[in-house]
Amino acid sequence: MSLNYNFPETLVGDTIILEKLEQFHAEDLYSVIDANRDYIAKYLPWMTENYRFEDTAKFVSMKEENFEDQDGFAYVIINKETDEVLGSVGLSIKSKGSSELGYWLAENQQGNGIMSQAIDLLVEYAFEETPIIRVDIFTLPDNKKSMQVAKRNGFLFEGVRYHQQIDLDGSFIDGVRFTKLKDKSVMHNLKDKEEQLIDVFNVKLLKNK
Amino acid sequence: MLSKKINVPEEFVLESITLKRTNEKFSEERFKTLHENINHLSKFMPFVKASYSIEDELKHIARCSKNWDAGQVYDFSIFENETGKYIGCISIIVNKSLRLEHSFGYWLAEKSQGKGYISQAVQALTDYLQDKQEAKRVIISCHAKNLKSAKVALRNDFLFEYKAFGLDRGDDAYFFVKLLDQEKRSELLSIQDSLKSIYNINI
Repeated sequence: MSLNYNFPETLVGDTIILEKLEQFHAEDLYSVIDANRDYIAKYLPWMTENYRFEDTAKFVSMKEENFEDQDGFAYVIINKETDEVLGSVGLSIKSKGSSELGYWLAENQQGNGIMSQAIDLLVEYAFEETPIIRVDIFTLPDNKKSMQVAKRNGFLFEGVRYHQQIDLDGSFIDGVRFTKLKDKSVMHNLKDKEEQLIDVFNVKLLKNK
Repeated sequence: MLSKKINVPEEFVLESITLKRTNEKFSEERFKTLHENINHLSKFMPFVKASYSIEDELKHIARCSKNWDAGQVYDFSIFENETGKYIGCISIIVNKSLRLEHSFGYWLAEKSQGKGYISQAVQALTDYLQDKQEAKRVIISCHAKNLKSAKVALRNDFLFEYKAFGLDRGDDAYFFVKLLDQEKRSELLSIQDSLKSIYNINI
């Protein structure tokens, strides 16, 4: 039997609002993406030279369908005071109760705790109001900021998936996996192993923290 | 490079078994085999219960067919060559996200276990995916208590990659991977003992 996740259309934080991603956001979202092309291309494989507004519109349609089908729940991050679109955050359902978090934020908005606030809003809602019991984050091995966001939001390093995705130049790259679990005792078990796992997988950016 | 939709052959004739694309002609045999193995299968496959009906089975097969055509899951029925009997199934699951990854799902009738049949199927399909489709990552994941599945992975030269806590309905799962790239494979091979020791895995 499929689970009902019941994600809301908006989630309101101290300085931001998460709004369910819909077609009327596409233009504003594309403007932010367009202004951050080089920055996004460093970490997200969908950003190519040929990326156009139509790609954003198609992406939004797909996310609307996912929301309807209960496969994924994507939101735009909006500045509460100025109504400006700042980035995007979303959860994809991977298996029963298990999900993956994806996010990006305009470069000039970083360092203000916005992404941490967005993740906190979404993950807390997921754990408290939906059947989700596990949220994963994958980062590239050189994406220090993303790793810091994951750690700041209480995610723990779980391992590395070798050659998990293709880079723009055709080479294959690893994914660094973080996870947060609803069950605090299971989180505690992983916490006990985290330092050893960081050592064994030799994740340099996570060492000596 | 591996595209999302691949033209997987509909039949693999192997030494002791034959894999055939699942279709509704097999529904009665499959239904009977599932019911004969309820106790054995229900531990790790929650949908297998006494109330599972032939209608459920036909729905499942229709889904298999749709998923095959969509390039999402390639579901094979396993037949024993010697007897021609239906003995289980194995699926190639294509990761639906951007990641280039294939995984296997399988079950086998209890009486047919211990004969290396699943190993034969896993080996043939992995070879196909890596030799013909250049699949960079093929994975086997299993419930952390399902040591038989873990052994199948290791017997087929998959390497332990990580333990995912609470992955499926709160239960832990082990992930094993077969990497196409030999350098990456060596890297993972070199940390096998350390990883197993962290999780206290004795397989």
